[in-house]
Amino acid sequence: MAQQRAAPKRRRALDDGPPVDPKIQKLLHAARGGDSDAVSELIPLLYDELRALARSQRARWHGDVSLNTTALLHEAYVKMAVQESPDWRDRSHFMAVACTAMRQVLIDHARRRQAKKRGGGAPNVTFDDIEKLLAASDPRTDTEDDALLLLDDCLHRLADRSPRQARVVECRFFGGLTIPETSEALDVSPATVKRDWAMAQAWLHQEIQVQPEASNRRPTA
Amino acid sequence: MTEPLGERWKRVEDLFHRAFDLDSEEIERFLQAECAGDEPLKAEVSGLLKGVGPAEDFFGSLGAQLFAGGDDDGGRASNALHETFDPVVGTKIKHYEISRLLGEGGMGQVYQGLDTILQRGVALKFLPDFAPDSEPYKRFMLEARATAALDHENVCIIHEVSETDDGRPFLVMALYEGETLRSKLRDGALSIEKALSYAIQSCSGLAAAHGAGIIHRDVKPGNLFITRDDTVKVLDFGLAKLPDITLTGTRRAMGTLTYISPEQMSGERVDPRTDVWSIGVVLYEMLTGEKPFGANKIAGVINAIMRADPLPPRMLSDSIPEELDAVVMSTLEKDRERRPESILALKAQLLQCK
Repeated sequence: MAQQRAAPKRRRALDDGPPVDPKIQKLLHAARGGDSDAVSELIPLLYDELRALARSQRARWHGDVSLNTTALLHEAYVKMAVQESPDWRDRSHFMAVACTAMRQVLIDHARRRQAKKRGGGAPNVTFDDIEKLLAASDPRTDTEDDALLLLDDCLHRLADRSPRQARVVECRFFGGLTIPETSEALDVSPATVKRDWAMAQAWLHQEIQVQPEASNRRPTA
Repeated sequence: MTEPLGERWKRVEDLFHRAFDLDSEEIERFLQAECAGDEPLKAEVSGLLKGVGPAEDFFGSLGAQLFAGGDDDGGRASNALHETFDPVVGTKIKHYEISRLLGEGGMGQVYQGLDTILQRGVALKFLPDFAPDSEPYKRFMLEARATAALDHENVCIIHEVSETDDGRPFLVMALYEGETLRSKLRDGALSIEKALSYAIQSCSGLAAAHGAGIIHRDVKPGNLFITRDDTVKVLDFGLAKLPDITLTGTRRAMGTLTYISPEQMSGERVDPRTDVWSIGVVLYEMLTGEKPFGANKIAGVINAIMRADPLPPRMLSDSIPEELDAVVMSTLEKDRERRPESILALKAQLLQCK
């Protein structure tokens, strides 16, 4: 049922405002509460918006922030038919959910591609490989997928320690949100976001560097 | 790892946050006082604090690698984000199944695909949208067809020139295993033997094209593909004629700019000796690891190409033989009359250097 496209409902929502799609609202609510199944169900509904977000994020990494991620997501939010509650906080929370969804789509995609190539399993990459990837890129490399999966692995462990820091990473790294945007999305002060982001990066960097051999690790569900 | 999660982590996090804005001396004093002899705790927090800078660099590059995609001359390759959301990947165009994005540049995207009729891998290059009836488009099609007719070991095979149902042109090319010369040059200079071999093979491929009346116009490391068995395949003939390729100050144009001849730069009518020049620049870079006319400011590069004499390669690496040095310098003569008269003449001179 997650595959159903919500196009007719969305169009209706744009044309005559509310009523809100109760299914989406329920999913958003559950996702906000940390229900990852709800995020998975939201992904097909969010897909077009995520694609647009991906485009804007590319621009951001190029150093050219011609598109505004926040504006984009607000628009997505409106399209997702939650107009009835124009509370900024709902919109901000929606952004955090979208960033989580973004991470999930990327990871699922990398995992599927990898499964096709070598039967799936744990990321088969070391810190050195990622460093090499960053130094020089081979057009046919699989390291990007591996790097993503390894990062995801470590991020799960970070979430065990600090769910908030993990969400900051989702917003900043996977969603491409700025510090003020992340602060709004997670309802945490900008100063805390800044420090969380710094500490999360330092911790993940350490973790990635001390990864044991890939064969000893199990994929995180 | 036996790291106790809850309390310990809270402690680390708390100290990290409080120490974050202090300078390094203050951090030392602060942690000394707060950790009260718990050395592992102190080490962990100060390790994290010290790790922030390198970690930010790491995530900055990783983010750029995963999400930005594209490169100054399109030599770079896949990127997770784009591919994940790429509307083309996973679809079928004509009888080609598109499986992944190989690279993206100023001239459109290149995808890996499967020819479902002949059951072989292919590379599909989609060109930028431009009017099908326009003069550049027609000229490009003409030249693509001429290139497709070339049958030379050192020219990338073009199987087909086609159009999507909505009229977007694309090239179907052979799929090779290997990497571009651009990617090889990231590690610095090559051995003299390799450099000579690649240059000579490039000359052979270009000579075949010149024989058919095709000038490449955009010879650069990103357009020289090196297969796993060290065979050079020259890519992208005639693409430099597309209107999308401009010499204005975009980042993208920079890669092209570095290898372009003075006459091409000034908009004169070019002849095959423009490719002689570009091979000279590429060879220079293969031998020395440096670009003869610099690589930074666009204005500086333009000025250097038009006016400055490059340093002889031997000044940068004294293992380069004198005669090879002389050949490279002759290809970089501003006045094309003073360069080797043709790509075949250059090839013959390079063979003498072996």
